[in-house]
Formats: sequence, structure tokens, C-alpha cells
Amino acid sequence: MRNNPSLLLFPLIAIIFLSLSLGPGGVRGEIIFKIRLPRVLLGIFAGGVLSFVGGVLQGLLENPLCDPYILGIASGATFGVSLSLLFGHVSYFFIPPFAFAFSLLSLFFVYTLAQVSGRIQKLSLILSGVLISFLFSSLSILAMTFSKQPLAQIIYLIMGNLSVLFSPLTLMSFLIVFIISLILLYFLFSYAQELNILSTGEEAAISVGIDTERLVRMVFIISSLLTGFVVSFVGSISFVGLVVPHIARALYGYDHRKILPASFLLGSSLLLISDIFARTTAPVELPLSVVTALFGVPFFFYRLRRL
Amino acid sequence: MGQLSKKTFLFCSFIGLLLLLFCARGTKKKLSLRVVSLVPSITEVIFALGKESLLVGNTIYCDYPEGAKKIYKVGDFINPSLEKIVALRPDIVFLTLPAQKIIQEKLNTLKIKTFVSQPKDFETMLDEIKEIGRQLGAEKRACSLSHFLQEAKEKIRFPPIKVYIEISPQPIISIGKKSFLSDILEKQGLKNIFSDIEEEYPIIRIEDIIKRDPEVVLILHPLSRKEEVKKRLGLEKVKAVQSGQIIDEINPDLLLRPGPRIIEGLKMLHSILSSKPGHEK
Repeated sequence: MRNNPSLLLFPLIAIIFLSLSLGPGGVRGEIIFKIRLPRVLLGIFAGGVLSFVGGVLQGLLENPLCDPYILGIASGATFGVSLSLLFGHVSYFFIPPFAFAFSLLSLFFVYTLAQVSGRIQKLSLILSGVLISFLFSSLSILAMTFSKQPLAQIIYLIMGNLSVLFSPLTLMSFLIVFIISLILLYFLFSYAQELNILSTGEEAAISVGIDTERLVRMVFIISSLLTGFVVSFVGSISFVGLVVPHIARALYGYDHRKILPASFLLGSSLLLISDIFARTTAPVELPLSVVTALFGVPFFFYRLRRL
Repeated sequence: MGQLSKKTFLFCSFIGLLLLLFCARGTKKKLSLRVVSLVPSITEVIFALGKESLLVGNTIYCDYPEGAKKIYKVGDFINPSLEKIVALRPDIVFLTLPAQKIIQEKLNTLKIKTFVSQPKDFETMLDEIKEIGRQLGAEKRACSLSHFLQEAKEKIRFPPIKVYIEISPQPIISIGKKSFLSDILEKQGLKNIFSDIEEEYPIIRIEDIIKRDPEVVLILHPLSRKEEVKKRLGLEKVKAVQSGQIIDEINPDLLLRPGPRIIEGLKMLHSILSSKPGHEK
């Protein structure tokens, strides 16, 4: 475990099997393939991508409190979801494209805002992310006020849930997104060494010839795209992207070449475990963000005490 | 050798028993309908029709009659568990829109039959009861039930009193023209002070209540009592508060669920209103 993050695959596989076989419906082909399999796929995708991106951003912005939502992308996607609900569409056919279109819009806004005399600085990036977050959050609330859907239903959609059914069309689009995401993740991973150097200080990075401005720009765009994908499909599941990179760092030290893949595998595992809890413990299905936070907060606290 | 054959015999009989059980289950499934209700009022209708034996699942809000509490819970009203519903292998799922649009879409994808309950007024509620009766094979009973409800409703006539109905205190929510309850109360003679608002459940400003000066306040939620409403700033000038005509003793479910118990609620309201006005201070 100490040196090779790929060993984390084994617990993940065990959790996948657990997740497929546990549930109120018992073990039945139809339930496993139509209901639990999509959940598991989305869980691996969302947990993995959010944690990976969280790890990258924490490294890049040298800020341990960064999560993928700090760039304002999630709020754009949330606005897309509320807007599609305003027009009465709740089907899985409409919501992800709508959400993604708006996450692209917020990406564009943040990108434009963050440019100070043609250059993107880390600080301006965070500030414009937060600003756009506020803008789109208030717009979402505005859209919800006018929407005829009950508020609880909207909150349920936005807070993040893996309860998704695939029709052949949505399955296809999900798989395409999944493959694109893997390519983008690989792309981000190729910056791991540069992130390592950058974490020793920006001057040091510049002195060994790293174009930090370009690095910030590329990482920002790719991370935003990835976060947009996730939020469009499952809503903004909180806490995974913040806490999992810290767990990875506790296990594997500070080398991003190890932390990032470990974050992916750990994130998937944590989200699947949370999902098992969310759907089996109570008579009602709990919102996923609630469960991830319940798992995440104690660990985060423990880490803080040891810093 | 003898022991081996004994083992094989035991094994075979075990398999046989399993097969028998399996067949028995198969035939049972064909014989009776399996029904899931995601709407408390529909659960009440199914019980009223005497078809509760078909009900294999309902929600945590289905709390009437007592027997409804004991039925397997598939989750809450807005977000029931799809897996639990599918695991029950229902032939038909009763739900309501727009609140349950998400789960309806999912059930449609899985080709599970759904029945949408969306009564606009008393008449459509009766039609729905008849339709549910037809679906569950209790047509006669449904007809007589709706006939009984219709007659009972006709007997109740309210005086033309201006009434303010509150279904939530924070924010203050009342019922508008398009709501089920407002329609019935208006048709039976009461005046809902917010019947000019199109929305089903509009959010109200306290100024509007004062301006419209209701003669009776009807509280239909468990969160505030008479005393609390009397103390609300500004309301002391309203007729209803001055004459003490604030009603909080009716179980909200009686009037807000579009089911057979609504008659009970209307009768209670009627008897309270016809006992001396301004009786209490």
C-alpha cells in the first residue's frame, strides 16, 4: 500500500461487488443490471474525477481548502439544472446537456474575469471563481422561485444523487463522456511532475523553466471541463473532492504522481461506500452529499489536528 | 451405499420442494395484482375500497388507516427508492404530479405501469376513485363510495363567510384558486380570501391578510396554534382575531388529502362554524 497506489484497485473492486449485491431489492438480475450498475458506474466516475481534480487544484493553487467547485463550474451546471426544471424537463435526456452547456458558460466567464492584462494569476482565478459561483447560485435560486416543481425535488436533483436509470441513448452519452474524461485525466496527470515542482514555490518552478502561467491556464480549463461533466450527470456531490486528496496525501506523501491516481481510486471507493449507506440504512434514500460529509468531516478534523 | 442414496433422496426432495415453492410463487403472482401507492390519499382510497390486500408498498407518509403504517415503505414522498419499488414487482404504481415526475420518468423507462392522481376538484376526485376501483377490481364499491361522498358533500352548505386558510406559517402559504380544497369550499358556499390567486399554494404577505380582513382563520398545519396566530403583529385588527374565530382543531390531513376523509373534515368545519360565532374570546 505504501508505495504503489494501484493496489487500491483491490479494495475498490471489492466495494464494487458489495455495492452491486447490497440493497433492499436483494440479488436479482434486473435490479443489479438496470438499477445498481448505473449507480456504480456513476459512483466510480464522479468520486474518482472529483477527487482527482481536487488533488490537482490543491496542488496547483497551494491551498488545502480547494475543491473542484472553487472554480465556479458547479454553480453554472446547477443553474443549468434549475433552468431545465423551470421549463418542466426532469428527464435524464435533457438535464445533463443543459447543465454542461451552462458549466461551459461559467467557465468562459471565470476565464475572462481571471485575466489580468492578458495573464491568468492564481489569486484572480480563485476570486473570479467565487464571484461567478455567487452569481450563478443566486440565479439558480431565482429560477427555482419561478419553477413549478416542488422545491424538495429540485434540491434533491442538485444536491447530488446516483439514482439514475440509463436508456440506451443516455448510456451511450455517458460512456462517451467517461472516455473523454479518462483522456482528460491522463492529460492532467502528465502535469504531475510540474505540480510537484510548483508546490516547492513558484520562483523555484520558474527557475527550472516551467511556464506557470500556461500551467495554471491548462489545468484550470481541463479541471473545469471534468467538473462540468460530473456535475451535469450527478449534481454537486460535496466533500469528496476536498477530503480525499488529503487522505491520499496521508497515505502516499507529496508526490502528485502517486497522490492523483490514489485520489481517483479512493474517491470512487468513498463515494460507493457512501452510496451504499445512503440507500440501505434509512427507510428513505438519503441525499448523497449528506453521507459523504458525515464520513468526511471526522476524518478531515483528525487530519487538521495532526497538521 | 445406503447412506449415499439417502443423501440423494434428501437432496432430490429438497430440490423438489424448492421447485414447488417456486411454482407456487409463480401462480400467486399471476392471480393477484400487486400495487404500490406513493400518494397518502390514494392509499386511503385503496383501503376504503377494501383492496388493501393488493397493496405491497407505500410511503412513510401513508399513515391512515392504521393498517397503512404496517405496509412496506418504499421511501418518502418526493424521493422514493426506485430499487425498493422495482423489487416489489408492482403491476401498477400510483403517483401524483408534478411532485413525483422524476420517479414517474424512471418507472416509464422500466416499463412499469403508472397511474397519475391529480384531482383538480371534487368531481375529478370521484372519477379517480372510480378509475382506481376499475383498476383494482372493486368497481361496485368504488361507485357506491363516490356516490356516498357526492351525497354527503351536497348536504354540507357553508354560510358565505370570508375565510383565510393557512397551510404553512413560515413562509405564510395559503391556498389559491386552483387548489383542490379552495374549489370545494367555494362551491359549498365559503369565501376563500385568496381565491383570486391562480397559483395552487401561493406564498402570502401578512399585509394581504389584513387587507382582505377574513372573518375566520383556518389553520391547517401542526406548527402553530390559535394563541400564536393571535399574537402575530398586525393581525389583531383582523375580524377573525377580534372575534376569536380561529380554528386549529381540525386534522390537516382531513382537508388537504383529496381522499374519502375529506367529508369528515368538511363536517367538522361545518359544525365549528355553525356553533355560535364570536363564542370565545
